[in-house]
Amino acid sequence: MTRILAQEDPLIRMQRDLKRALSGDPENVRWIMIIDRAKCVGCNACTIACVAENKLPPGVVYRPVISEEIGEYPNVHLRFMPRPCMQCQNAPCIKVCPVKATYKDPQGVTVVDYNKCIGCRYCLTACPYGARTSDFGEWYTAKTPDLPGALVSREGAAKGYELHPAAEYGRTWPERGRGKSPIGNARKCHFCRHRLVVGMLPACVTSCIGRATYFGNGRDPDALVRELLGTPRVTRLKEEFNTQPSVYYLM
Amino acid sequence: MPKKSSTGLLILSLLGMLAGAWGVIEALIYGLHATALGSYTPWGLGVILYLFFLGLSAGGFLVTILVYIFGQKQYDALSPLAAWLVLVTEICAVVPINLDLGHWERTYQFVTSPNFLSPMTWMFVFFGALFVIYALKALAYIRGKETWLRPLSLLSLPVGLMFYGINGYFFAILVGYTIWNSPLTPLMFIVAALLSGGALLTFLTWVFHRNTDLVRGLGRAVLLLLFIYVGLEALNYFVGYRGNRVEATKALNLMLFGSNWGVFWFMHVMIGTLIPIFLLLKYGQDGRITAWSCLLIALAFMAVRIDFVLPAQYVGMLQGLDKAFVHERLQLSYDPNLGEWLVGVFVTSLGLFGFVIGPKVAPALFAKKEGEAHV
Repeated sequence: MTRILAQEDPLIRMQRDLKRALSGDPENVRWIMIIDRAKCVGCNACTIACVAENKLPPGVVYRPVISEEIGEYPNVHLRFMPRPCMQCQNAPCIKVCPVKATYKDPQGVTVVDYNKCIGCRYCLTACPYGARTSDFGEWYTAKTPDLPGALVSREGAAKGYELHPAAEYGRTWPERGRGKSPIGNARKCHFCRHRLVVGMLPACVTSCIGRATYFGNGRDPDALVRELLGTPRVTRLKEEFNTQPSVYYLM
Repeated sequence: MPKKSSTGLLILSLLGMLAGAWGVIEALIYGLHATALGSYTPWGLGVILYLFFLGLSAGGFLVTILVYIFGQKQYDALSPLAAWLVLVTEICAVVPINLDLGHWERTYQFVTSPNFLSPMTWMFVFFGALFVIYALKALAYIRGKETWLRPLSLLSLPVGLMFYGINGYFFAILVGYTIWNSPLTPLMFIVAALLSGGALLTFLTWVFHRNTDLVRGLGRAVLLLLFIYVGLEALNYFVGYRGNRVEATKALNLMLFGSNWGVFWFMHVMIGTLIPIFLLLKYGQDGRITAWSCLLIALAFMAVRIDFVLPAQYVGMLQGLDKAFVHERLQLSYDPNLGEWLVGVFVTSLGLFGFVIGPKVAPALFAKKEGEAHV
C-alpha cells in the first residue's frame, strides 16, 4: 500500500519567504522567479491570471506560454515555456529608452513610467525575449453593439471590465480612454509589484496549477528560490547577450 | 525649372498633401491605433519613411565632403541648393517619425529627460544640430553672410558623420535582430545616405542649375558610392548566409524570396541598381540621362529602407512566441494600411512642395553663381 508523505505546498513556503523579505531591509531584496519547465503543463492559467490582474487589453500580454512540439509520431511530446519579463539586471530596454521612462526599482524589477513613455517602441526591439508589448488602444468591447442605456451595451460591457483602472505599479490609472496612458505605451510584466507590496505573490505564481513557478528574494539564503538555484537543472534564456535575467528555468 | 512644370508640380504637391492630410490627422487623433503595426513588428512605414528622407538629406553632407575634404571647389556652387535640400528632407523625415510615436505630444521629454546612453537621444541631438547648421547656412546665403559659411560647413562634417552613423548604430546594437546587429550597419548607413542624398542632389542640380559638368561629376561620385554600397550589401548577405545563423538566414530568405521579393529584386536590384549602373556607365557624359538615372537611385532607395526595416522583424525573438498568444497585434507580419500610406503621400508631397516653392521663397539658394559653367 502506497503512502503519500505530507509535504508543504510551495505556495505556503513562498508566502512565508515573501513575508520575511518584506519585513527585512528593502535594500536586501532582489526578486527572482524560477520556472520549472518539467512541471509546466501548458494550461495558460498564468497568462490569463496576469491578463485579469493587470486588466490587459487585446494584443497586450505579459506572460505568454510558448508551446514546443518535440519528436515525430509516435514519439511526440509537448514542452512549455512561460515567458514573463526576464527583469534583466543588465537590461537592454533601459539603456535604449531615450527619455528614462523605464528603469530599475530597488528590488531589481524593470518598471515603466507610463506618464513619461513616448511610445517609440525602441525598448520592444531591444528586448531579445520579446517581453514587451505596445498598447495599441484595442478594446475587447470594440465590436459590441452600442445600445445606450441597455444593460449589455458596449458601454455597459466595457464598464464591467475594461474601464476598470488597473492597479499596476501601485497606482490607480485613469479610466482607460483615447490618448490616455497606458494606451500608446510600452507595457511589460513587473512581477505584480502592486501585489508584492501588500504581501501577495504575483498572480502567475498563485494561479499555477502545477506549482511550476517559484518566486522569492534571491538574496535570502533561506528562501525556496535560493534552494532551487542550487540544482544543476538551472538555466537562463539567451545568456550570451549578457542581460543577466532574474528569471531562471529548470530544464 | 520651366514655369509650366513648376505650376503642374505645385498643384500635384498640393493635391498630394490634401489627400495625405487624412492620414496625418488620423495619426494625430488615434495614435498607434490607426496603424497596422504590432508588438512583434513594432516599426513600419513611419520608420521607413524617416530613414528614407534622412538618407536623402545627406546630399548636403556629400557636397561638404567634396568641397572641404576632396578640395573640389566647383561643387561649392551647389552648397546653397544642398542647404535647402537638407532642410526640406529633414522636415519630411521628422513628420512620419513623430507621428509614429505612441505619445507624440511628449516629444519634449527628449529635452527634459534625456538618456544619453540611448542612441535615440543622440539621433535627436544630431538631427537637431544638423538642422540648425543648415538653417544657418541657408540664412547666411540669403543674407550674404559669407564669413559664416566656412565654419558652419566644417562643423557639419563631424556632425553629419555622427548623425548618419548613429542612425546605423541605432539598429546595430539591437542584439535580437541578427541582420541589424552588425558593426557594418553604421558604415552602411553612412554610405547609403551619401548615395541616396547624392543621387537626389544630382537630379536637383540638373533641374535648377542645368550644369552638365557638375551633374557629370556628381554622377561619377554617385556611381562610385553605388558600387561601394552594393559591395557592402553583398558582403552582408554573404556573411549572413555563410554564418548560417537561423535568424539571419530566415530574415535574408524573407527579404530575397519572401512575399515582398519584388521590393528587393524589382525595385532595388532592377530599378535602383542595374538600370542606373548601365545608364551611368554608358551615358555618363549626358547630363540629362545622368540626372534621371540618379533620380531612379534616389526614389528606389525606398526599397532598401523597406528591406532593411521589415524582414528582420518578421523573425521572432523566440520561436513560437507569435503562436503563444494570438492577436492581430502580435503577428510577425506587417502590411501598412491606407492611413499609413497617406502619411507617406503627405510627406512625399511636402518634399515636392518644398522644392517647387524653394526658388520663390528663397531665390538666393537656387541662383546660379556667376561664372558657373552651363549646358
